[in-house]
Amino acid sequence: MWNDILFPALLVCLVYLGTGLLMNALIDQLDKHVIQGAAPLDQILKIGIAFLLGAGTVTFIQFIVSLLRIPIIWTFYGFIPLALVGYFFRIKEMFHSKPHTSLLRISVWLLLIGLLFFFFTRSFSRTMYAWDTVAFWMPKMFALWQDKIVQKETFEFFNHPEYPLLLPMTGATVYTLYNAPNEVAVKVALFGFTVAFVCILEGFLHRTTSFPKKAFFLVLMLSIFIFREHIAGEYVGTADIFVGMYIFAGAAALLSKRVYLALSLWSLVPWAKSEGMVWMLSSAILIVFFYWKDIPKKFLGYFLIPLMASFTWSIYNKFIGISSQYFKFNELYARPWAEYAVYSVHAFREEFRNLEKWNLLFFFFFASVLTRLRIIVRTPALLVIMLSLVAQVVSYMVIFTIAPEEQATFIAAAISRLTLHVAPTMLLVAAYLFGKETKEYV
Amino acid sequence: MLNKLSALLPLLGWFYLSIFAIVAVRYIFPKIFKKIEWLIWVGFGCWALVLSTRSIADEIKLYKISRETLYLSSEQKIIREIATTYEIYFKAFHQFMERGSHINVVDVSTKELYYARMYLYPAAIENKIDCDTKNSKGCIIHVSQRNRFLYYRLVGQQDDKVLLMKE
Repeated sequence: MWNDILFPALLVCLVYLGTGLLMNALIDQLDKHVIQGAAPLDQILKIGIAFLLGAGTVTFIQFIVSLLRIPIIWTFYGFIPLALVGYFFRIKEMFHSKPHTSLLRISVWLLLIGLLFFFFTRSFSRTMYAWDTVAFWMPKMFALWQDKIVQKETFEFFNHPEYPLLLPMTGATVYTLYNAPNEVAVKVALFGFTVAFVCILEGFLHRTTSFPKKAFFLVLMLSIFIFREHIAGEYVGTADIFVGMYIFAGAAALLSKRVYLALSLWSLVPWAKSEGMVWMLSSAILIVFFYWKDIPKKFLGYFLIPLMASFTWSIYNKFIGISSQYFKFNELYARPWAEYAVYSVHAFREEFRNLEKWNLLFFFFFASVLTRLRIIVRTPALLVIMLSLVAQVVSYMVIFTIAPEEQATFIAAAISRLTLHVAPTMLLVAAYLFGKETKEYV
Repeated sequence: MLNKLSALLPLLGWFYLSIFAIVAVRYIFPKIFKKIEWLIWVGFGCWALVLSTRSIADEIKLYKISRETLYLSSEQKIIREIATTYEIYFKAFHQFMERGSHINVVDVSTKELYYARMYLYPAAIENKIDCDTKNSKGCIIHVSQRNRFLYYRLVGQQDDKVLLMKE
């Protein structure tokens, strides 16, 4: 009974991971030329990042190739040999390195696996049932599975046709492999993203903080109510958590001195959900501004590839005549926008101090940032992340101000999941500021 | 002025005021801050850990509920979540749907409409108070209403719903 569910889900996860490992190996060659002498990435962090990179790459190429009327599943099968090459490189690398894992780290992982078991069983025990999932994410998976390719008509009946395809493409691939609309199998595949996130978090904290701080930030992140609900509970099958994960993964890469890897991961944020476009644009501009001297000019062209890729979905939407329902600027003239803007600011003020939803995550973020301003000003990676965080939150305030929906209702329905986009990265910044690498500045 | 300041206090609450206090000490009395910094972080850290422990305990407690449905087949899980909707719209009626045909579902909840719209893809589905005989190719109605649309062909029946199509 479980075998037929696990096979398509695991195959999807393994292809994502293998492709990501290959991509990571290629990107690493570029990054060596940007910041020379950067320490090698933690092996577990690398696996987490590879999964996210692979998921974004495979689904994006599936979309592009399907525009040539080639079924998405054919493209997926085409990635299997590439994934095998990725695994080959990884195994080769493992033979050349001398892995040393402490008993303490193994214990941490045993506890994490225990916690992941509870997340997985809760997620696996039910189908997808969040409102947004039923309204458009799941229907998009179904339509894509039926059509086998992306075409103009595929999403026309569903809300938010402009939302991108990372999640629907993953779901449609699982449906095709299973040969039925099996949401439970999709949930198993989506759990791969959660495991990847935990790998990145643990791997990053392992390198940058002492054991007690690492344990503290791991427990803090994985126990946050909104996070738990998005990986195991009601909101599994919505794309907001993926926005948070891709922003977080890029931030971890940039703080590990991997500029091109960070840009590649951030260029996939708009592929998870349209709101990610603000992050991608602001971070790309800031990276070029702060790392202009470090980027060899002969490699500048390579920096344009992920940026151009992230615009492809928007261009396609324009081409087929789809636009976001949130951007109706004529609404601005019909409402007291200044009051609306103030209300939006207060909404975030309330949200950040909601301990039931977020514990003390934002307390540690604000307190660590404001007491360590000197470190932030001196660290280009932190400046890029902090300024992009500001741009992202401000963009949500703007959306709350101009969206055609009734403002209070819209904020009540959306603020927690929008805050989730930035919350993991804020925790990462706080952990970094409390960590080993910034000790010398304090 | 004082009134305005006092009105600000509940808006900020202990959360923002304690951050301001910490930042103020950090920049006005840096030496004192260096001495007491660990105490602040450990204090708030312990509080956060208490909240985290409660949250993780809640997650573990949920296993008891998860176990009840964990070993059900996927189809059983879907039926448990949305009752007969899956059987009616996907298993029984989906096979008759064609792209470009307009099908009415009559007087269903928004959630059922969403499921119908998904499972009946690629047909265009609309929720109507009554079957729109002029503009639709077919209707999904309650079986008791069948006699009102005798000039429609009965294509399928599942539970209490029938799918009627124009000849």
